[in-house]
Amino acid sequence: MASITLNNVWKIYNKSIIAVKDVSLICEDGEFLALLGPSGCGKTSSLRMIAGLEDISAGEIKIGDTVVNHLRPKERDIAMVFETYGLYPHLSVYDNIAFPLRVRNFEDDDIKERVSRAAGVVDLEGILDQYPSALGDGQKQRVSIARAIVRDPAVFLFDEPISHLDETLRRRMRAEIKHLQATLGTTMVYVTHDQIEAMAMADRIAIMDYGVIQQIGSPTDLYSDPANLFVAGFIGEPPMNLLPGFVENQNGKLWFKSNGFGVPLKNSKQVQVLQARANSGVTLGIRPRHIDSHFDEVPDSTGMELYGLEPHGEYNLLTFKVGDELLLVQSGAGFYPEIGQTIYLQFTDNIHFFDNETQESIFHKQGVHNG
Amino acid sequence: MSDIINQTDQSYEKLISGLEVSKDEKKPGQIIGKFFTYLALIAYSLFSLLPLWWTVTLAFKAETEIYTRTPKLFGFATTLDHWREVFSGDASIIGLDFLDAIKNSLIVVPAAVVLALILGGPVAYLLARYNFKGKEDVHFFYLSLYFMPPMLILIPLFVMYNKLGLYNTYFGMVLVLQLVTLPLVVLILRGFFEDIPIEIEHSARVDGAKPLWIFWRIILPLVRPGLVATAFLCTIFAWNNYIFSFLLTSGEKQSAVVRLTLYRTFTGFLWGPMSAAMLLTVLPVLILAIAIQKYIVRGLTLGAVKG
Repeated sequence: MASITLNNVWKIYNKSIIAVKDVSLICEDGEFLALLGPSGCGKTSSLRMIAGLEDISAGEIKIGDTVVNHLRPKERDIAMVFETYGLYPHLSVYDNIAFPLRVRNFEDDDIKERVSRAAGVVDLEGILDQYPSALGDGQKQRVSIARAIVRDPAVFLFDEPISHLDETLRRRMRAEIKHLQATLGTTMVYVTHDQIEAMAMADRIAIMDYGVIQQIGSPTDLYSDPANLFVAGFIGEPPMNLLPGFVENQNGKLWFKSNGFGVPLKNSKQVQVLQARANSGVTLGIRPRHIDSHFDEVPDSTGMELYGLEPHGEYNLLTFKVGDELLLVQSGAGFYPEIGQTIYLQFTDNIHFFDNETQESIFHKQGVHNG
Repeated sequence: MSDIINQTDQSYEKLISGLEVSKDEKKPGQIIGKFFTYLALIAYSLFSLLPLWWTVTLAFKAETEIYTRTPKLFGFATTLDHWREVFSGDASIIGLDFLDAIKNSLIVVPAAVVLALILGGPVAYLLARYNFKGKEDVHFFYLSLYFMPPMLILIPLFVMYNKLGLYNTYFGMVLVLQLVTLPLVVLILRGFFEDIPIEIEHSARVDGAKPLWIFWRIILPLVRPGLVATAFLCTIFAWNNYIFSFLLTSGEKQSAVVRLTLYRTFTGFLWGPMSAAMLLTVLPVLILAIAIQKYIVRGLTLGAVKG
């Protein structure tokens, strides 16, 4: 068991393409850390540098207290699970799982015991004689996981392990991997592009874009207090509404104005922080579930014509046109207005503001959110 | 890779079951279509197999019937004289033992193929797996060996071989045949190596295997069908190569293909013995093909899937 430390790590390909830019993070001993981001954001490069499959262009990576920059993968005491499984097609399931032990010259009896234990953990007992080509995708990934846990490594590295599986299987494997990590208590770095996966599984998430870590925090932190526009837009389903506009001081009251509608700001702490931004361009971010919808006009509400309605079962998703953008509003499942009907929207104070220039959240770590 | 095999198997089964369905509900148009398909296939088979059969008949035909105006493909007087001639060793009309030439080919060709695999395999692997400066130039170099006419280098080669004492040696032949086999190995094997998902190697590295270990225990077993198919193609090309053996050997070190031409004597063509010797020359390659058929089909179709 060990922690993983990245200190100012860079990865530059062909002397010109910067894949990972000055990344520093710590994955604590026994922690489940997700590296989240769109494709090409540098998350996989980071993982591969931790694994030793990729050289480190600059910076330092430590596993436990050991600097591993120049250690081969073998010497890092890690195990990795790949997106495309990376099974050895010419070896049986048993031999696949036994492979890391054989390479390290374990005794046959020991191998047998460890393989059957690992196979038991991921429900593979019945198919140890089969070959990978005969297995389904879920089973293949189980074999790959069994191969990772068979050696009790200090660190697990998972590279998009379930993105090739279908939805049902993905849900199941998600639960299994999380359970596995919790019971084994092994440090795990888990790369994914799927925010739902990261939110559901990880203790903490490091969200990356263009090779830079945008924010590190617990799923709740990222959801309720995103550090910048990118994080705000990436985390959450349905996504956060992001409305460009400006802050205006009107008769002693602070308003957010955008494309023909205004939102009065009531929360005094927020007003205090925003006061300095009066008359400057900001982007308002608000999650669909933080906008209340009413048939009749209520104080501080804005009337808008309903553009569309999507029933989602536990809630209805209303859409409104704001300029060219769609405003999403989550309403109760019983709320069924007609298309074209005027609905009065009331913004709660669970809102975020982002600086249009720096894209940073103005409220980040200001303690102005109600959660 | 075996996934691909599995998939093709499955789609093949679908195809077959599809054909069975169509059997029940044949339309007239389909029958006519099939008729012409078969007609075309039969015509082509005759076109390509007839010369071969002609050769077979010549090897068994009595001397008098060889020169008939229209070749008798059936019902000719048979004799084993030509075969006796071919097997008569030094006492034969050509004054050289034809079996010796077969033996020469049987020594030189496998050696050339093995050497090409040993030398070319790592090159193909490097080209498939590593990025380095001039990588595609290396590839192009091997490709260019193919569009270079051998005539271009014959004279310098001949002079070099004489000076180096390689003329009329097995070693010299094995070496010069690399011009034929090495490019084949590099170009074909590269594709096979590229077909192996890189993740397999990565997981082996993470699992703790050393590069050489990975190459021997993981990569080689996986490319075995490709290796066999490549080796077989090399064997054919090397076995049938005429020009280098013609130029760089004489007398006792001649290859079978070159010695065949000796049946064209000053007094005329010895069609009978020549045909018998030709059949004998084809035989080893034919046996090899049948022996490794399973691998060849797998190897070649794997390449085909990749396209």
